Amino acid sequence: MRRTLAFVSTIAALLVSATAGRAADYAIDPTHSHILFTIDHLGFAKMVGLFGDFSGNISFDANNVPASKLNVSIKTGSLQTQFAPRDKDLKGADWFNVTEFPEMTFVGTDFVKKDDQTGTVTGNLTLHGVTKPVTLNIVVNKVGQNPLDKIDSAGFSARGMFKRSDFGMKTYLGAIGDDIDLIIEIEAKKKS
Amino acid sequence: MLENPIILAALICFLLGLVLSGLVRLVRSSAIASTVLPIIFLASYVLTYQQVPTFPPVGSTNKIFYIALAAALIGFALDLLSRTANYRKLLAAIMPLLIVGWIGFPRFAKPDVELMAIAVGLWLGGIALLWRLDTVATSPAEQNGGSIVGTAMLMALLLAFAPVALLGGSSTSLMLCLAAVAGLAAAALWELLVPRNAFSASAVFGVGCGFLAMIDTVTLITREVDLVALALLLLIPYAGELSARLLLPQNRFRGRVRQVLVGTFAASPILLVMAVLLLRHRESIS
Repeated sequence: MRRTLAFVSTIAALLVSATAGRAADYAIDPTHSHILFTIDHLGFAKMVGLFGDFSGNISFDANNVPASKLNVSIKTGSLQTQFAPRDKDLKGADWFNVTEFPEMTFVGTDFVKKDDQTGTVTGNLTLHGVTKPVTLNIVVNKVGQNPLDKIDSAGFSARGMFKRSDFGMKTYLGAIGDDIDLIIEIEAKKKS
Repeated sequence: MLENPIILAALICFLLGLVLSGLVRLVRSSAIASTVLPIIFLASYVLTYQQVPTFPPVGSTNKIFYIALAAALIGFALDLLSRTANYRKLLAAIMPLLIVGWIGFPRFAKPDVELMAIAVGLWLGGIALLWRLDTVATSPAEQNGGSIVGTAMLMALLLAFAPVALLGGSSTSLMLCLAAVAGLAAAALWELLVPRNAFSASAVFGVGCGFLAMIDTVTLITREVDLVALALLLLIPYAGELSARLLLPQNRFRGRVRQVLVGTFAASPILLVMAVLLLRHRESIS
């Protein structure tokens, strides 16, 4: 009897530790997530744009960050800059070319933990038919149960930068900045 | 003023046009002289997009460069050969179809009636344009005005398309058009002062096909172009001829005066295009 109890308790402990070490899979909650970018306009101001339609999945384990996974897909046609003529231009063939390149994607390849709250994700950004590595600085805001819907959730803030010229978008370089600064706020819900 | 990228590109193209057109007058070859116009168009492209696109091209805007380059080379080869009239007419019919097919390829996976109607319209319009430009290039100057009128037609087409492109979601095409117009103006100036018959197949096909590729890109890929204004562009290559026949009896105006008058009539539809854009896009313009 004592042997049986010991065996059962060992199995239970293994199961608990296995569960604790397994990455949790999350889906991006689009209603509480935002992908914005800023770009210099003639040195006077930063123009702000956002993408309203995107989706993605995150596999995250706080105890084994390098094993995390991330993929995000953004509909380029959902671009908005609060000025319709400019949106038309930016969606056109000279810029994002949403007809030929309706999606841009980011797939994380290298996850580095700096401390309990911060780290970096390097991944492949595919934009305009070109794929280049981009690094995002990540802050893990909160991982826990959402008090409203009781679903386990995770919140991240990410900041990063890439040069549009690296992706063949060289229109009006000089007048319009080359550096695209990214502001990403993600809330993701654990998949059941 | 030079901080404005459009003005800077236009100035560079104008100077390039002046220098190249001057240099080609040192050699007695209209085939070489004609290459100045597609070189100006390609330079306008490079200044506008700030790159020679990768090959194979990624995306329709990159294709514009290679279409203009390939068409100019084919045109130059035709200029070096003799008895090419039939090949030129055949090319004028085939090239617009190939351009529509290549530029519009991503959309033809899901064709619909509207798309096919626009594609056919672009093809037929392209034929009408190249056919007319080739006629101007190959017929005697007394008949169609010669190189200066051919160059004026291209300038008028580019100038008229510039605002159509701007309102069609392509401010970049506006820059390309205006830079090319400035360069062609320099070439036209040389042609006016020291005629060298610098408007043959390489100019017709190089600039003509590059222009068609730009139109097809804005129409089929950006998809915001005003089709009415676009259709009116077709008046430009024919307005000069029609006006000359109706208003300019051969025995009353000759030589340079006739060329300038026909060129002016050829450019007149620009005002019509502008008026249509003002009426149909008042909100965007104001």
